[in-house]
Amino acid sequence: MTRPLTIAASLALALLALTSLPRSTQAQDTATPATATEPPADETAQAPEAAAAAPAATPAAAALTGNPDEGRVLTYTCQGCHGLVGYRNVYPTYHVPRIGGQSALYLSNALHEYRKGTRKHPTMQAQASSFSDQDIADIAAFLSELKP
Amino acid sequence: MSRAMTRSVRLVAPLLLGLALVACGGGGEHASEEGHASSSAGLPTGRVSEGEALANAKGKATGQSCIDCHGADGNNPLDDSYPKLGGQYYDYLEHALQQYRSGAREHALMSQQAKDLSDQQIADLAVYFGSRPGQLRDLHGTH
Repeated sequence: MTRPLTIAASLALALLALTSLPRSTQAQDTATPATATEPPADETAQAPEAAAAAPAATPAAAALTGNPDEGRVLTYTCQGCHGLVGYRNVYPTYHVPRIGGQSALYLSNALHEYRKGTRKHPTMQAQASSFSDQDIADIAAFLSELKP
Repeated sequence: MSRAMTRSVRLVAPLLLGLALVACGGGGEHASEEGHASSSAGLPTGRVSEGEALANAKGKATGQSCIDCHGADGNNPLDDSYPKLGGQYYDYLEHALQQYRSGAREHALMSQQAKDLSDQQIADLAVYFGSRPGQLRDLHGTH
């Protein structure tokens, strides 16, 4: 008598856990379409280049002129986490930062650091790994021009 | 009977744990929006006035205060490579300071500034800058 009950209870719990899951994997889900649109050749080409130019990455990146219109398109993906008011990172739990209105240089540095792996966050490192230097300049240009 | 019970407990316990973790990690707005509640990182509750005093105090290692580099209210950074802090989510600021303190995130100045901060001081600074008016925003409605 107790056996079927406990089995039923564990099944119900499993179902509950599964239905709650999409919430925490939302960032990864929303990230996939945009990164898939990146030309694959670009990704493989930029990795060694970035590694070789690592010490000079910041000044070189700052010299690129960002195009905010391109940045607008590239940042559709970012809304999956940075566009939801009150959205929280899961482990550890804290609000995903407000990035609109930061300076282009700060934003560009952050993305370059994530791409190099010197700044760590699994989702952000995955996102940044698909961006070229120009992509980063474009994203930084768009985000830095946003007003509250 | 009791063997069956312990087996079912073994079966259910990880599920319950998983459920609890998922429930804790979910998004959503809570009472801590104003930045006065203690964070899930286990830090004490931040105090705005103590945070303000600390933000203006010179750090021992660098001789600089937070305000010296990030500007009044954290809104006018001395250099473009320094972030604006005013109005940023307090729990993100706590996370950033904890990372600098632990060495998980590195910066020539910030690592020095953060290394001797207590949990209470991190909470105070974060709540202070989070409570300031700011120029930052989320990306909702921007596309």
